[in-house]
Amino acid sequence: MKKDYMTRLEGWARWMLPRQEAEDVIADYRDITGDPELCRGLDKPRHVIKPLANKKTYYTWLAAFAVMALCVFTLGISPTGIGYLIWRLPFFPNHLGPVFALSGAVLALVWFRRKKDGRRAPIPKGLAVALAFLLVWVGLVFLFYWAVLHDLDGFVSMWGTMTTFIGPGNTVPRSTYLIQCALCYLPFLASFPALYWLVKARIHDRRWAAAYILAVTAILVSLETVAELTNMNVTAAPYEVSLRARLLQCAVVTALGLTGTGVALC
Amino acid sequence: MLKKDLIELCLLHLLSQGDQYGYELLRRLHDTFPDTQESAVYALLRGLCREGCSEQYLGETSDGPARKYYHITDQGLARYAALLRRWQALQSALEDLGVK
Repeated sequence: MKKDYMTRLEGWARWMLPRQEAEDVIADYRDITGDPELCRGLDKPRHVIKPLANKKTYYTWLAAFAVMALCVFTLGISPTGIGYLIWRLPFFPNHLGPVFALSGAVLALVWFRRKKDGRRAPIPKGLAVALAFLLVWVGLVFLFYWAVLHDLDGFVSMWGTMTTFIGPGNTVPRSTYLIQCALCYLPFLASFPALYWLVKARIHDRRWAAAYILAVTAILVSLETVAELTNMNVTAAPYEVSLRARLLQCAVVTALGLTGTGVALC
Repeated sequence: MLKKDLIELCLLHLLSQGDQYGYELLRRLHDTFPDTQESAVYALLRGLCREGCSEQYLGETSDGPARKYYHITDQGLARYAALLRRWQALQSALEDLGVK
């Protein structure tokens, strides 16, 4: 019971209070929960922490969290029907995607910056796994660019065709269709763990913000690629030219994202 | 004078006698105010810290892990004196009414 109570109290304390104050309160309550008599009448962890929180500081944190969550979710839902309905902007990432991504990443960097007295601990195992997954994701997007620019015909015919409601004869190349689907739905699915990583950054280790920043990067790179794949502008440059321009754009986004991730990990 | 002020007075009084850690303070006040939630007393203790009436430092112990001690500040001593005066005034007013 004591362990369970302390786990919940630690969570609430780190969520609602500034880091140093949270640690002081947790240290005090470790002693308090050791006393069977005091332990009997203990208030719920949330009720213990709530009166200790400075409203202004706590609401500032909530506002920052809401902005970071909004940035990642707006990007995540943008290629879905809901995103289209909300924004009424086809290929929305071309317009505002980088603004949302940059706002979320910069805010995460500033909010979870290293404090002077911050102790160095090994990188959490879960964080390393999350970063590895995101790096593989970004790597696969670049592999796609390489495959298409290297041998478009080979790439298109790689997995044959599939029947859909679009395309000549209602058939489309399976490879491009599947990749387009993956790049549309992965950002949506990734926005949920990205939010969870923000919570982890607040409660456990600020370096979880690195996973959030890399997730935003991966989402933006994917959306830029989807925008390119679904580009119906008939006056656009030939695909080799526009794809190369998009590749350069994605490379810049990735370089910035990796730099931000590195800074968040320091 | 509210109960909150009385608990604050007791906390400051205990701290004026020497530095103590959170659990020790709560344990002693629990005996005096058994019907008061520990979280309410603790919130007052943290409130004193936030207002600069007390400060925390990591103290050494002969056995076990280091603990965070609360130490009363000059501002805390001034607040203690003010609360004590109010308490004594209230006490004498009640005595004048024959309440003992």
